[in-house]
Amino acid sequence: MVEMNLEHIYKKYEGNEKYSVTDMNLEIKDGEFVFFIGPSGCGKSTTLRMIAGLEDITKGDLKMNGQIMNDVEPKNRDIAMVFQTYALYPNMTVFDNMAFGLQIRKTYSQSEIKKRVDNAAEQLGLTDFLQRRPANLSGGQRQRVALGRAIVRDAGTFLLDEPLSNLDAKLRVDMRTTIAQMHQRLKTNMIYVTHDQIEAMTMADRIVIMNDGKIMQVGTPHQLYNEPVNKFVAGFMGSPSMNFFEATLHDGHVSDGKGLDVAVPEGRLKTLGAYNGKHITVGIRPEDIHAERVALDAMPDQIVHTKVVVSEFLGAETMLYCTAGQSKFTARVDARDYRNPGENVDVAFEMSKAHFFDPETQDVIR
Amino acid sequence: MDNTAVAPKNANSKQNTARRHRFWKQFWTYFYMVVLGIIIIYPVLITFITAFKDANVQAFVLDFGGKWTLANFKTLFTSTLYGSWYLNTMVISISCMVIQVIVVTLAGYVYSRYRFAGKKFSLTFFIVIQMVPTMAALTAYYVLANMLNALDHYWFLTAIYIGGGIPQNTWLMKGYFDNVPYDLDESAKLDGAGNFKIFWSIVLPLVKPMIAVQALWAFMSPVQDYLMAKFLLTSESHYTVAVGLQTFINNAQNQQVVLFSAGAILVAFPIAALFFYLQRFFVSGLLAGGSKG
Repeated sequence: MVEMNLEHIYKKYEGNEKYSVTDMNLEIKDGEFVFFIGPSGCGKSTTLRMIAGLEDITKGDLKMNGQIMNDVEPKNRDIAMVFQTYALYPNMTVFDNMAFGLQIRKTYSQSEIKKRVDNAAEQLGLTDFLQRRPANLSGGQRQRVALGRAIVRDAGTFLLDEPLSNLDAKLRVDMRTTIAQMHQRLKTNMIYVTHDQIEAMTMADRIVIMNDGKIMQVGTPHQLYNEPVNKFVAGFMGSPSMNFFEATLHDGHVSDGKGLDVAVPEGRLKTLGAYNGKHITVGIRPEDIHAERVALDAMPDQIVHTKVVVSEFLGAETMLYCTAGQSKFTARVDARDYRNPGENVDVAFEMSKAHFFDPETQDVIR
Repeated sequence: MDNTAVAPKNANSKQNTARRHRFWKQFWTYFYMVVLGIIIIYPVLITFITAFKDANVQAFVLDFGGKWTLANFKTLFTSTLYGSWYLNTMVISISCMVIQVIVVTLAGYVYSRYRFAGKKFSLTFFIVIQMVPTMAALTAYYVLANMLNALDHYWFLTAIYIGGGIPQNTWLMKGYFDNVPYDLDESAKLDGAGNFKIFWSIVLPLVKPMIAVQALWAFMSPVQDYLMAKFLLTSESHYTVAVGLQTFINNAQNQQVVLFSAGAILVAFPIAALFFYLQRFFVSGLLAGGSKG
């Protein structure tokens, strides 16, 4: 059982002017599956490495069960880590790779080690490969060995640093399930770093979204998607990402002066009172733009006349990349509403689901 | 009608051109290999044949005639100091190999894995000292040996050989260690391994090919060196094989070419044996499968 606290943690690399991680505050509860996501260079891997003890903490405290761990050796932190590059020992067999961490601690008998390795191998479907070396395994098998090496240790915390990024799309889906099952079974807390939001959305209890060394928002996948606190989070979560317009609010309408002019429902206007006559950033997700007749009839004030530039038929749905005057946006519509490029189409912006951001601070207006 | 007749003819001539092109390409490859082979094998062959001649010959020539005998080898050990020279050489070579491999491997590992004050400077310094040819330092070595009362002592000569090999080989070793992903060290660290365990169990097994190369080079250099040994070893019984053999042919009036050749052939054996032993380590792909990214 491990409760982890990151308190005002900063990281600055030698020779760098800027902090790579700034004022990181986070509480991770026992058994929680937490994801760190963000663009490359946002500090997510650095934070994970600080937790593991592979990087020094410049300022702040890392606590595990209330005890400050800043200067504790990595091996004494009760942590198992899965590396992006697998980091298997090429000179050892799969069995030895998995047993290495147990053998070194000298607290387990040979039979106990064998039992644990066999057990982990069975869970991960590696029983037939125990005597092979990593060079003779496929990418997916190697990644499973890396997971197995972490499982046998029975560590209090699992750290996973982009463990699936080197796998192909199908394997990634399979491994996602394996990891999710592993978490359910082990019930230890896991911290998982990724830049793939689908991995985060599908597996996480909570997601920590980072940018430029800072935490932008911490919340459940549902919260991050539906209640983003700023424009960065709103734009980062979701694929295709949210459409943004720099607009002006006047007389209950938002218009960007380039071709977009839609009414804002009464309910939303109440919160936007201070912005009347001022600039405002409007965000709307592609799936909140509709092309079906019913929606157009229901939202006559929110109709935009557009022209389709590119359309992508995806089977169950269609992506329409449209322009309205000079404004550009993406709409995710029903497959039946497929339009050819060049066609004119009316779409309805479901403004009750739109997000509004302060153009200066980029924070959401609530 | 005409067209159909012309088409195969064209195809044939194209095929012929391609074949000719291939022939000449292969011809020059083989020609180069044969010339190179002759340059390498010719002197070895002369030495080999001369070693088995029953009469002393006056010059190194390729002559398959005459009677063949093993007497020269016997003479080497019964009537000359060759046995001592051989032993001296082996003692120096083996010490040089063992010590240099240990020093260079540890130094290469430290330079590859640790950060410390003066790391960059000392690495640059290694390159700079490497630029000074041994010949230029010969007098200095001699003076130093005199000062330390180390003339005619093996330990001094061995130290010079080891010291001379350290800078360049440390660079090479560091480069090889750099190829071993640092992730492996970190992974082992989390598994609970200490610094020595990481070095010994994880990283060292992956640099075996380079260690084998280092061992071979370190063993070979005292066997091949003439100049340094000639300067620093003064009594004849302390000579190494290279210096000792030279005494057989440096008297223009009485050159013992057959003994020289026999001695030269014998000294090749330990090098060849070491090479065949170490060959098992000269493998590629040791790092395969360990990491990806």
